[in-house]
Amino acid sequence: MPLLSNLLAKDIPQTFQKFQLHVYAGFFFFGLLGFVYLMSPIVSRRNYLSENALSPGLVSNDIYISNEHIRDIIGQLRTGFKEKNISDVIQSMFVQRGIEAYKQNLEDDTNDENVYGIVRAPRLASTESIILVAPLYVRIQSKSQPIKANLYGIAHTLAIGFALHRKPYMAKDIILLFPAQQENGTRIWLDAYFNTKPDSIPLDAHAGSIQAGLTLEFPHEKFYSIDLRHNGINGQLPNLDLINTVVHLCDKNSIPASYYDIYVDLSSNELFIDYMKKSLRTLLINALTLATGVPSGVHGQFLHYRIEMITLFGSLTKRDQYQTSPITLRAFDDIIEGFIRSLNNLLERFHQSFFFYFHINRRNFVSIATYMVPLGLIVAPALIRSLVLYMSFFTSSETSATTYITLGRTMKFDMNYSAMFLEILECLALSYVLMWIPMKFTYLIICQITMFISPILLRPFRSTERQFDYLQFILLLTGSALLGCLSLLNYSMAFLAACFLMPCYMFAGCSKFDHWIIKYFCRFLFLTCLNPLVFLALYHYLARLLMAGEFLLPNFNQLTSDFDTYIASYRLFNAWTVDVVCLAIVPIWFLLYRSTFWIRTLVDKTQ
Amino acid sequence: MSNFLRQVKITQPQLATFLQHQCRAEASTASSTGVTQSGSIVLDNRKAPPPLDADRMRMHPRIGNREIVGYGLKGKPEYFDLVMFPCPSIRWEADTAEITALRKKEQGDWKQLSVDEKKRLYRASFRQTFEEFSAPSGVWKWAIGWTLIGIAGYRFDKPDSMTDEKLKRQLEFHIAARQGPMTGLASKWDYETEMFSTKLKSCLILVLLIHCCSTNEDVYKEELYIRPLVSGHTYFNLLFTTVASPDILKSNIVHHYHLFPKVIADIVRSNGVSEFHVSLTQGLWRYDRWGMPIVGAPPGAEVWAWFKPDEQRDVASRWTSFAHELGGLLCASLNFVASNVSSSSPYYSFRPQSTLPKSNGANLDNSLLRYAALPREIVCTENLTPWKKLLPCVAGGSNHKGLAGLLDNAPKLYNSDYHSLRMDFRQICADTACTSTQLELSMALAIVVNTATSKPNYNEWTFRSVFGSNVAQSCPLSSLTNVYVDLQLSSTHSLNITPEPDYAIKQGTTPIVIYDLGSVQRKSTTFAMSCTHSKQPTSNTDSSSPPIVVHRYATGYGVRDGGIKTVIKINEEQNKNQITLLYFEQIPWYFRVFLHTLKITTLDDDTIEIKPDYISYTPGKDRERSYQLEIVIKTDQSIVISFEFEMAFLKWNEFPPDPNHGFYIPSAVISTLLPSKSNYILRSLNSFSLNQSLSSSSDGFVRLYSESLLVNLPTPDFSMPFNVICLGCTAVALAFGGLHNLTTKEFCFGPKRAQTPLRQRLQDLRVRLMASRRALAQRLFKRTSQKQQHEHTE
Repeated sequence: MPLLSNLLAKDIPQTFQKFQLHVYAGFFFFGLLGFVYLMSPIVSRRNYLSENALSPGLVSNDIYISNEHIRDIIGQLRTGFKEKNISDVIQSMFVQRGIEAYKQNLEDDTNDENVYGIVRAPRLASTESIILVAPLYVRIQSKSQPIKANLYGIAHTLAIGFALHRKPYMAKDIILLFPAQQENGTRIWLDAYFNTKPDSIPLDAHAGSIQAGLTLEFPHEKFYSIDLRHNGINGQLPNLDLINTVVHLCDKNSIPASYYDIYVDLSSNELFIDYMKKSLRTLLINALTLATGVPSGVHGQFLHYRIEMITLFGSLTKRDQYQTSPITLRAFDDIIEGFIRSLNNLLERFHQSFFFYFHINRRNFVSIATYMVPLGLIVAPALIRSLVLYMSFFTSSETSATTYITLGRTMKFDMNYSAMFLEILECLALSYVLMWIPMKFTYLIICQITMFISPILLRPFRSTERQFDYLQFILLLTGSALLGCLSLLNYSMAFLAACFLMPCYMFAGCSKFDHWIIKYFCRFLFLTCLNPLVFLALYHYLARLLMAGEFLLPNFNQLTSDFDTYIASYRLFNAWTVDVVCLAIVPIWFLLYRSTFWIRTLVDKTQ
Repeated sequence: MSNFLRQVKITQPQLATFLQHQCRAEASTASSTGVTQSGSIVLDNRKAPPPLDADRMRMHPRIGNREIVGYGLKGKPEYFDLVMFPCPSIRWEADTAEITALRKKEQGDWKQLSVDEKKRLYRASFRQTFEEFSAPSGVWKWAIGWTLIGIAGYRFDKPDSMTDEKLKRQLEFHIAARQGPMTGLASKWDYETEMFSTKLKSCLILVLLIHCCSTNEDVYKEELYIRPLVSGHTYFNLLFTTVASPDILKSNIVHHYHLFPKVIADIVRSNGVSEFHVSLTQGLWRYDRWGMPIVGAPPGAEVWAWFKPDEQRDVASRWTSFAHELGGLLCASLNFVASNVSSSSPYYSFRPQSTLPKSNGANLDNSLLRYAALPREIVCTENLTPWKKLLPCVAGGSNHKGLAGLLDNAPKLYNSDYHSLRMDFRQICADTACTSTQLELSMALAIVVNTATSKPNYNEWTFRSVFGSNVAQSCPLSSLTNVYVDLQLSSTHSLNITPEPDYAIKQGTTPIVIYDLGSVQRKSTTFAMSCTHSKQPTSNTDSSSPPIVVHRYATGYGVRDGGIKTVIKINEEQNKNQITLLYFEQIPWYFRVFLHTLKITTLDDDTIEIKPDYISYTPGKDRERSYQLEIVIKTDQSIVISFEFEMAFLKWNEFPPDPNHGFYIPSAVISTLLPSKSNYILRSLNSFSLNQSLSSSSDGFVRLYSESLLVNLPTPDFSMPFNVICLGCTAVALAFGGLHNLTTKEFCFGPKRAQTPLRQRLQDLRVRLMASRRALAQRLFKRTSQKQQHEHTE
């Protein structure tokens, strides 16, 4: 259906025309401020348990695990790790106690094996289960030793499994999984469990549909606080009820729980400004890390299969100056037991509470209804500008007064599209090439430079102002549609992309002005500030600053190495962040950059 | 006085009477001041009297100058005669000069007062003496008299319902509503002829005849089969078999029941059932660790029934009423299996169990069979209790006799890894030539108890630890009471059983020891058993893996599509020959199975496809019929059967209250004949009682049940449907209008209308009015002129 409407530029108030730029900039900055404002206690909500069935596990404890028992298990595990037969050791420990245990070969040259045991519940015909995961090795943030054996985590998982073995109240099987090679082993195990890949060898035993679970990463024998990690693949998050259960249990056993190693003391001891600072840091790190699409632990794989899960990491940092002794065994086991018994009591899958949220601190969060508003403010200028452009086409077509007749329909405004679409194709082709080359930072720089000099090599299309506006119009619509879709899939990524793209649109639009200084300034901006690599570097620096919580100098080597590890791990997790960036965001940016060369006033004048 | 009260404890009524007399006595003698000053005993009168004179007059205007002597009952100056409270707060009479003089005189020696004066003083204080006011007044005579007169004066009618006609109708209603109908022999008594009705007489003779025959025929056997398992569990199977004459199923006669439960016979007779099976199970039988059960059962409930062909009602309606009645009997929700949506009629998997030659043939129409499973059914003590009551030796309370005594402690029976109640009813031959038939009802309870102790590889159990009680008495009605212990484990484990067994037999390679509880020396004593078995360190565990193991699981994730994979592992060391597997699957309609995805491969190599000998596939219909798949495969290796399905989106009112729990897919049933040399004790078709199947060689027929599956269907967010739907619709409606207008209509600017001043408008109005008036006038004139013209022409 051809567009019949006839919106004219003269309908727009002249004052708006005059202050367009101010309005757009205003929207943008209000959006940014609005995002920062999310951390204020007025906007955020206090969390609560939406599912009542979860509460009984928070009440009392039944299991007692002695220190000697744990020490005995750790001793056996240690010899297992030393003699490189940890999977056999774990399996024999299961079999000794009459629990079925199986191994799964990872089918690669390392000869690593996943081990899993299933504690069968007497009350149910193995239709539902809870899963406890303890990776054999855990990544830790130390330069000398990148991975460490997850001794403490494995020992506790085993001890809890043994203790719950003959409890008559268990109504769901408990799967105890010990994956080798962290994420890789987990992925292979999950593929085999759900038989998603045709070539995967099926597992020997199953335990029905897995409802939810917990990952325990406790490489150190002593720990002072628990760090909760919940980021999933592509910004997926576990159900808020699950996290709240763990947080409630931690609070009950007075174990400090933190997100991203930022602990907010919610008592009145802390200054309000400190509370705000920490909340803002949590919020920003949340957004920055979720945008990458890479999970923060093994649990991310499970979220992909609709198994709600988070990782508990035993952190060595003390959260309080008065905290002198490490967390006791008893308190820690109470958390796991309470968690399992809460889940055991659950009749349905997690479906209440929130799946889209941002954590401000462990007790407060922002729900989707609130955090969508800032993004809407940021993207609004794109929509307004496209409407303005659309209306202005009619005025210009009236003046040109020539109407093309194609297939019996009258075109409202004539345009020579062919050159424009050629240009778009060119840019897309270039960014596809970007996808093919190996993702190395140095290669990226080379690629970027080709992009920069491309207007000189491939002379861009010389256009009139109307054609330029038309391209802008198309790009604005594409961009806002892209951001709209992205905001529903991965909000943080959409937010960062909007922060990057919106100024690009603005400065590309500014290049229309008839002054060579403005033109060169715009191109210069595209080369420097509005450059994807620079944005990436800025992003990296900001993330590092926030993570460290103190001032750091930018470090280029760190950036390249981090980028390389990111690309390496990204392939593992079915994430699509890089694909979206390369296939959608970079082409838009590139088109905008090239469009700054479109209108050549000097040439026009000579003509 | 007060001292006396302090020292002596007296009861409340004693104190009351004491005070009464004390008070009256003092009041009649002492002055008011005396009462108040020395009246520490008068509890309420301890307060000082209210002030006199002007203030008093203002406060108590109605009592005149009557003296206030105490607090009274409520603190108000009131006079009343009351047995409960004998001391009023004021005196009865107002103070006259005469009384005042007497009072003065009273201060002195009382001997100077005459009797009349004393009386006068008393009467001034009180209106009546105690005797006077507590004397009966006789007013009741008056009341009753008048009531009787009133009653006598009223004419009563018999109520309407007492008329003969109404009484007769009432009686008819009682008969129609079956209120307390008299049953049994006495109801046949004819009151008119004062003898049994002739119909009954002939019946009676028949009954006596049947009685003579059937009492001898009814046989009840009880058995307990115990098998210690490798995994540290022990399998207990209580078996109760009743064999009865088929006459109880004949209609139009008076039935006599001896040991066969009447309720079962009623259900079977009224619905024309020729045989049925029902099982209620909690937990899952783990074939890989526990071997073969005597009779398998899927988790939840399972029912199937064969119906007699020549009955008036059709099978579907009989199946419905049968399932309802059986469900009511066992307190299970079997009414959900009744509809066609959840039941099916497989061709091969559930052939009749009857040993009669006419039902043995494969030509029996499968439309007479109905099979259904309820994997969601939760089994509990409320199922056990009605089941238990069908046994002959179960008395009220916990006074059960025989092996039924082990069923006393229901919670103990449910504290197990596997718990299965079963009931089978069928027809069997009475003798080898099959000249006459009998009915057999076999009831069994199978439990698997974890008997492992904290000591590794050491198991220990007693009757008391497993069942909570011992066998106290033998059941006098049972013809056989045996306990069998299967000593399969004795090759690898050291077993220690007390007491000493009566005798031992060998079934194939399996040694079995037997206790005969019906024997003379055991009959009168309590039978308790205990057993310890521990693994010998030298032996290896994998000596006896079961001949066939089934494992089934759901594949895929997400709520769009999924699949089911069934792995049937055959122990190839034991099975050299091909065996025939019968695979049956009944899947609810909301899982839309695709037959083209059905793939049967060997377990080792998924490229080798196995062609089944026979496939029967009934596609499901939405809300009408479930998908049924039956496959016959001949194989000598382990196989994998897999297929895929798509999930349907249910209507919002079809979801159960807990939609996010998931939906169950019932167990797959695999029936096969095991090679005869397998070590397992199985039920043979000749007799459900173990006593006979142990002596005869078993035919090796087993039915294996796989896991039932729980799959999540696409589920809308029921937590706030209204909000979402309303908001969504509003947003669409708002946006749609604007967008539609923008894309389909053309906006344009009309010429601006010039502003006209008010005077101009008024002028216009006036002009318009004048114009209309003129037009009206013209029209009128025209008409009149036409008339004139008309007239003129005439």
